[in-house]
Formats: sequence, structure tokens, C-alpha cells
Amino acid sequence: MTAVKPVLDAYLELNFVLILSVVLWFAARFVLSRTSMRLSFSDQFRLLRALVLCLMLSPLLAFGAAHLFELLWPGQPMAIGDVAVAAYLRGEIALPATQFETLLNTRQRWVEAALDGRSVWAIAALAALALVSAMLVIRVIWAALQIRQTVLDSFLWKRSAKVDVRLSDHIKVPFAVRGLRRRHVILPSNLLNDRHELRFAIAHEFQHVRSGDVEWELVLEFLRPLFFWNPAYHILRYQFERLRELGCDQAIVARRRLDTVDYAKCLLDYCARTVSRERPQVLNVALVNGSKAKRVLRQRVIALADGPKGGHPLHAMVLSFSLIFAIVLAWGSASLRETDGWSQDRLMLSTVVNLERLERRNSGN
Amino acid sequence: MTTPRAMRKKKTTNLLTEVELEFMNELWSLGEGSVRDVLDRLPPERNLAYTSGATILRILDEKGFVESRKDGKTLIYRPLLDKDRYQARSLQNLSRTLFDNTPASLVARLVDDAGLSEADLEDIRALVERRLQNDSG
Repeated sequence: MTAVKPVLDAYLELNFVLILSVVLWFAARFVLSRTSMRLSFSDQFRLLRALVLCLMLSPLLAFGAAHLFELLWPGQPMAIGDVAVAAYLRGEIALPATQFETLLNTRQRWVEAALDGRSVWAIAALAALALVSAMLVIRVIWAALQIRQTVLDSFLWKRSAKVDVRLSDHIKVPFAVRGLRRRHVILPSNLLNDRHELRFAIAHEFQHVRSGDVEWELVLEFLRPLFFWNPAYHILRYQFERLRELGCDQAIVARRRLDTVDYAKCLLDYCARTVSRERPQVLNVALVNGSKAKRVLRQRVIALADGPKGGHPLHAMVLSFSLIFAIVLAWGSASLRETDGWSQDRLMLSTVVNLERLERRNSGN
Repeated sequence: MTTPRAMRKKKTTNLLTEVELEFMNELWSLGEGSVRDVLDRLPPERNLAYTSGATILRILDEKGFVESRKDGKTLIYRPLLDKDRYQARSLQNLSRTLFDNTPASLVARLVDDAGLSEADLEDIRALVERRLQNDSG
């Protein structure tokens, strides 16, 4: 149990940071909606990727932030629990000491209850979480096998240094995927019939490959079994997929000078074909994504019509926001950490609690 | 980006896609031919790129429906499967997938079709009678 507790603590902290990331993203979106980045979805997507990267690196960022804080303000509390204890001792929180300590140790109490095996409910909840996680892992493996079979059954059409373009009789929607060594763009073989659509599909999937979206899809899908129960994961995932497609469309139209109306028509046509869900829905990035196509398609067409045609990426703004994300998540992650219970303030709180209990006992006698 | 020149191992597939069937029909009519020969026989409105045509024939080669030989710098393709055999295979598949594996249902649907003329029905009767005589003889 002593070995499991730090892991469970770290996991809970990561879930809190995930929620903080979503709050941070919506705050950033509110600010962005008042700037020139409002309709620049490629830049917004880069920003979101920076946020997810900060989220994944948050344990390291927290470590760095805690050390920096100690250097700048030695002896000052950084963890939110310690800040609360200091505020309590200054008399800024009006609660009985025992009640305050119970509130302060809520997380520790829950973790211990989950690990000591005495609560049937805690065991049932942990078992249910483990079961769903296992099912999600099996789903990912199953999708990977299906994709592998699709790649094996397809026909190699063209090959570049890193990407194979393949044709398949068994798919209706083009998608990009990566294997252990190479990336694959899989196109329906009937696309050879239509030069126009073929050009759009290749441009779209190559843009995904160029942006590293295939690798991001893998990372996010591998995180699903860990965070599936956290609504923040699903919100972040939806935002990610939405911006991935909006940004990809804008980048293609800007880069290849494709006709926006023709491109939007191609998207609509493909959306109509995704009613049948013969393709694995995870581990790949498709031209249109079956389950969310309708919801996102309207936004994609509007973005194509209203979005900036070309223009320079807003590097300075993306960098500034990324820096803010890193600072806030580093601070947030460090504040959420459990600190050792033997700081001066904690000892004082413990003394006050003991005195309160003693007083209660004496008055009871 | 390069186009793979050598074909990989044959991939077994029973049925042709729509565009492959279109190409096979032209090759069955030609006997054998190059990519250009096949493309020249397609309706002008198809407007198919040469590279697309070459890819379709390469896939047919990989699937084992045609074989290719070099004639100078040009690849000449020849069907490996007769049209009759493919028709039979295609009908067997249709019977299995759409008519619960009962060929009689397939024929019944065909005969009920209002599009058949008297002459067509006579031809069908003659075919059935000939087949019955052959089987009993």
C-alpha cells in the first residue's frame, strides 16, 4: 500500500491538472475571441497542442516551479493546503480546528479508504474503473489490429521517404495512420475515378501527416484508458479534434491555394459516405470523422468561408499564450501536491486540534 | 515521391471493384493491351489520368486478374481470367449474398423482371432445356 499511495496521489493530481487545463483553455479561448487569432484555427490548434504538452509535462513543471519558488521565497508555503493552513492560523478562516483539519485531509482520507480494502464501495468503484480501463485497452488493440489488416490488404501506390500512399478496396473515407516505422495514407481505391477528390484527399491527409496529427492521435488515445472517467479529458479531446480538422482545412487552402467552395463540397460529399462505420474510429485521422462529422462539419465549412486566406502565423501570440499555460500549469500542479505533514504550521494546527479535543473532553466530564 | 516498380506478392481477391471491372471489360475486348490502349477505349467524359489507369492495371496485376509483359518500355497487360469464369463467380457471389444461396430465387427474380422481352425468355427456355438434356444424356 505504501508503494501504491504515491502513484495514486500523482494520478489524482494529474486529473486535477487536467481539469485546470480545460478551465485555462476556455479562458484562453475567451481572450482569443477578442484578438486577430479569433478565426485562425491553425494557430489555435498549435496553442492547444502546447497546452496538452504542458499538461503531460506538468509533473516536471511542478518540480521546477516548487524549486524556483523555494529559491525566490524561502520558507513560504506553495501547496494550496499549506497556504490554507497559514491562512487558518492567521485567523482568516472561521472554522473549528477539527472540522478544518478534516476538510484539509479529505483527499488523504479518500486515498487511504480506497487502499485499505475495508470499504466495499471503494473496492467496487476501483474494480469498475479497472474493468472499463481494460475494455478501452482492448478496444485500442482491436482498432490497431483492424488498421494493420487494412494496411496489409491495401495496395502500395506511391512511396516517399517517410510516407506510403496506399489504396484500399475496403474503406470509404481516406485516413492517415502510423505504424512502428512508417506513416501510411490510405485512400479508397475508387478515388482514382475522380482526380478532383483524389487531390483534396491527398492534400488533407498529407497535411495531417505534416502536422504530426497522427502521433498526437496515438498519444491522446493511449491516455483514454487512464482518464476516461474525467469529463475534462473528453472536453479537451473534442476541442483537439475540432481544431485539428479546422486548422488542417485552413492550412491546406492557404498552402495549396485550393478553391474553398470545391474543398467544402468535397467534405460534404465525404460526410455523406461516413454513415457506415466500417473504419476503426480511433488511432487514425480521417478526412471526416464518422461519429463527430456532422457536428464539426458545419464549423469546418463556416471556418473555410470566413477564415483568413493565408497570412502569417501568429508566432509571438502563440508563444506568449504557451508561456502563460506553462506557468499556470506548473504553479497549479505544484500547489496541488501533497506536502509532508510536519511543517511548522501543520504542527501548530495539530496542536490546536488536540487542544480543542482536550477541551471538549474536559467539558464533557 | 516514387512509384513502386516491382509488384509485390499477389493478393487474393475474388471480386473486382467497379473501376477494375470497367478496365477488365476493355481488356477482355482487346485481348491484351497497354494502359494507353485501355484508356483510349473509355468514354472521353471519364477523363481518367494516365497514372490512375496505370495504377488500376497494376492493382489488377497484383490481384492476379491480369499478367504483364514488357514490350520495349511499355507494359502490356493480358487477362488471366476469362470473362465467362468471372461472370459465373460474380453470379455465385450475388446468389450467396443477396439470394440466400438459392440460385432459383435469382433466376425467378430475373424472369419476373418486366424488362425481359419474349425473345429473351425464349432464349432462357432454350438454355435451360439444353442444360437439362446434357445432364440427362
